[in-house]
Amino acid sequence: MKTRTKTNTKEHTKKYTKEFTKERVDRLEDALRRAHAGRPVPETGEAVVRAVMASVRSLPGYAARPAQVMAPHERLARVFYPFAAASALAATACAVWSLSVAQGLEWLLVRTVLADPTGLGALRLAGL
Amino acid sequence: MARDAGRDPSEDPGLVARVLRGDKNAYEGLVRAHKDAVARIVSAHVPQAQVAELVQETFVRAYVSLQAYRADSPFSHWLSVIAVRACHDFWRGRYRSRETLHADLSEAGRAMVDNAPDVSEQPAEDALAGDQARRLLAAALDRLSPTDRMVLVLTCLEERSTAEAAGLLGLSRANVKIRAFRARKALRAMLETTSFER
Repeated sequence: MKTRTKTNTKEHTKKYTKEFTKERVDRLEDALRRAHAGRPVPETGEAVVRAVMASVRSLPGYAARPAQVMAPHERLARVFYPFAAASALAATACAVWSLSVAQGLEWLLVRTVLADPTGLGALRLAGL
Repeated sequence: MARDAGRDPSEDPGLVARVLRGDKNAYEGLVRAHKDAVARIVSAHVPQAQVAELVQETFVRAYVSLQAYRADSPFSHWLSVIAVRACHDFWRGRYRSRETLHADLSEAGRAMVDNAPDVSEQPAEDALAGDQARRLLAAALDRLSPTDRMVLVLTCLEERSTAEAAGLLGLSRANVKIRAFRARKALRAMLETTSFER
């Protein structure tokens, strides 16, 4: 019974010490947060502005950008010429293609006629 | 980010455009408008003696990368990211060159706790606030890594969200969460030691 009481007292002391420490740490942490919030912020006067501008002036400046808005004829030319070039290319491709098709058909016709000049073969084939 | 009262934030993109067109003097308007806000951010992270230098560094960096600024977010937000990262780089440089001597935390903490009157006699806020608390804070922060230090100040002391801290430092949210947890645990361990050493 005596030992148990002793253990209980020890645990109680341990728990109390732990709570006490936690409370102190919480207070310290809170004090640190307040100290941080209430820190002095140094004045940034003319001297800082002058120092910054002196540094900036020693650096290379940004080159002036070309104007974003163009004259109407420039805008038209910018759109028209690429479009015209693309159209011409497409038209050439189409022409080449259609010529090839026409030539192919013609060649097929000639071969057919030469193979069966009287047309009897074709009639026979059709069952007439 | 606080700014000069009575100034229209919509003027900033115009000034940026002028600088990008080659008008260096237009940058002065941006510096004047944001210098106090930048000083406030910088003073949260670096010693007071370094604030002016870091403010200058922030504005020079901003000028150099001004072409990267997109007007879809306020200029002040963009500038605050540069300021926080400049502070981060400052600590990384300091830690590399080992110029900072680690302050004796237990000594600073002991002095602070010893000098504080009994809690029952005076409220804790009166007893613990002030210069000693700031010294203890500086000593505790000196023991963390540069990134952990920045994360702790942003999340624990300034109570910014994880997403905000992640955006300012260029880290992932998960990384910030882990670092904040670790740094907070370390800080509490240091404070517990201080508390026990009384």
